[in-house]
Amino acid sequence: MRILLVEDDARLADALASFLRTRDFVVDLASSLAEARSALPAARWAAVLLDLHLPDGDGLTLLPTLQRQHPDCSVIVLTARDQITDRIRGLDAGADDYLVKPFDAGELLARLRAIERRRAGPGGSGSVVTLGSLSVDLANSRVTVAQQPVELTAKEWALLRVMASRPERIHSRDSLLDALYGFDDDTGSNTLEVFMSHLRRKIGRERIQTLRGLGYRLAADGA
Amino acid sequence: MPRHSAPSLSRRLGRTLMLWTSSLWLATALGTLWYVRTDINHVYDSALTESAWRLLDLINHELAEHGPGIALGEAPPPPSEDFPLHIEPHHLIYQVTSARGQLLMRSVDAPGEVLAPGAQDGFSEHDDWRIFTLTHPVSLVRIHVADALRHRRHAELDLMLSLLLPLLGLLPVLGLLIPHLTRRELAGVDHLADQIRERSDRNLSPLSSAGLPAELAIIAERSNHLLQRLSDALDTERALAANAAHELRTPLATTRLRLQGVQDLLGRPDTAAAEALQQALDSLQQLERRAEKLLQMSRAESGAALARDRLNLAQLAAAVVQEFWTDPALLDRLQLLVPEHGDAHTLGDFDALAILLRNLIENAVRHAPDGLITVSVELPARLRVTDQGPGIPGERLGQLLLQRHQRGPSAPMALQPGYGLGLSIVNTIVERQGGLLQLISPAPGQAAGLCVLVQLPAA
Repeated sequence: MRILLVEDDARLADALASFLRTRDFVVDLASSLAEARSALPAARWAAVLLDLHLPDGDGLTLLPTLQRQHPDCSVIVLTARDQITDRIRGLDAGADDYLVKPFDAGELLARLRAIERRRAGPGGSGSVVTLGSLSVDLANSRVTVAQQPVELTAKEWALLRVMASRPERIHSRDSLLDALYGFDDDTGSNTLEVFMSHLRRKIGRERIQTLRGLGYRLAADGA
Repeated sequence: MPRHSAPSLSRRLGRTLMLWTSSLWLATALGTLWYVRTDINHVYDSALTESAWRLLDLINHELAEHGPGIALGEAPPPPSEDFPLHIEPHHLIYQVTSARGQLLMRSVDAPGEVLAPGAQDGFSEHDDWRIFTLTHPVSLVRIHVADALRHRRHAELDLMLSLLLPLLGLLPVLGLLIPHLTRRELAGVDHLADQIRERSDRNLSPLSSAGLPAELAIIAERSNHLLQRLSDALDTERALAANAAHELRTPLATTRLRLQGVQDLLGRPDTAAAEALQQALDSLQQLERRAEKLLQMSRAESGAALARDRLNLAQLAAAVVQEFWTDPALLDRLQLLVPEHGDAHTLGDFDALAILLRNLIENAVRHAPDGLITVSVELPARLRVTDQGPGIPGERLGQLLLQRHQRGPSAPMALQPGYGLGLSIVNTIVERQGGLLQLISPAPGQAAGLCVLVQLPAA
């Protein structure tokens, strides 16, 4: 897995790169926006670790170029900015994750592994999301509730896949409708509720929480 | 805010001007009245003396020629309504008496009785008359010339009315005119006051001094100077907070990575070196925590946390809770509840309120090792964090509340362990945002646990 690290602090960049290399990641360094821009076309990056406070500008300005050149590349923002508005701004701009310095190396590894899991298509391994008695095998498209397999339609699976691959997120109606968009028939505004109710009947009513005005999420058993 | 308790400048000025104008007018009128009254008496008296001297010789001659007669002169004209009394002709009457006091002669309108039988030469007053008496040096005939005192009183009354009536008529006019004029002339003050009222920590734009009189222009100009300095200071403070975060966090991140790298290299966790390394990492974590709390505290107390944006508490809570859900251990334990109908809006600073909620959740996570932690957004604008931990015993709850009120500006509360750690940050933010903080233990409807309730101003 090849990673581009955009960080202007030489000590941190060096420490991070050598740590990731011990974990068998291929890491390239860029210390400014300009360097990052020229490095982008050079390889097929799996992930970019992006500092926001760069000498020649805001790291988020790199995201449009990055998404155009590498649509499947994940971005983890590594920043000293811990304000929630900075975080929201980063995620809205298209970052997949947002880690505030000083972050735990183990946590960064976990996020990178999650990216690896999401990149691994069907047939991959180790991509099972477990929430209480609900188990979702993202790689092999299998769902079990209390060890009992559950049969889902393609659209139900599409919705569950979005929610299960990022269980820590509240998924907005728009992002879930996007997941349904690829299917040929009409996706009217009320169909999301219909599919959600089907999904709820199959995996348990209380497992999908509706947060009014925000979206849906997979809820834990206790909820 | 103690607003409008003091009377306005224009009202005070109007009242004072009214009072003093009327008083001075009244004093001037009374002074004039006194002076003119003295003058009138003098004129009337002069007329008496002059007439007496003129008549005396004439009458002496008349007596010598024709002997005593009852009357002399013409009959008075009929009284007329439109003829002012004090300039009525024949307002003077006279009587002529012998040396022994017998009435020898009188004017037609004079009474038949001697008015002042024993009067000396000179002025005297009898009944309603002012009399001037004179004795002929040769014939010893006496003449008494008199005018009615009521004539003089009428004259005084007329004068008084002519001076005071205009004042009475003008008072209502002044009563309308003075407040109008003061309001118009003091419009600049009102305008400046309105401008200053609009200024806040979010609006430090310069005041307009256009059309202001010189004194107010100085106030506006100096205020602008201070506003500019305040604005600069706030900008510096914000930049400093952001930079301090960056300057502190980057080396901390480097140190952590290096130590964790060494930990990887060491491999076996049971050696003395690995133990020492773990202790270093623990200390580093403590340092990170304190640095974070200091940054949060400085942010909470800085002018940067004073924004009054309209924000939806459900969105705020969702953003903060999603941060915690990235921890797989909390994915099952942390629950978010938002209102099913209507939105909880408040006016405040999104970042500051997020720090507040983050601290409340951190507290719950630390003190309640297991069990559900519920973050509820409630109408009209409430945040509630409930845990199922041991809660806080009653006496400790009292102490915490006491500490909150006793906290001096420099007390190092933020670094004390336990519930007090994030509580002073929470408390500072709640105060700044105009909210109310309540700690309830055991949590309502539970045997134990702590419920922290933050009531914010609804918007």
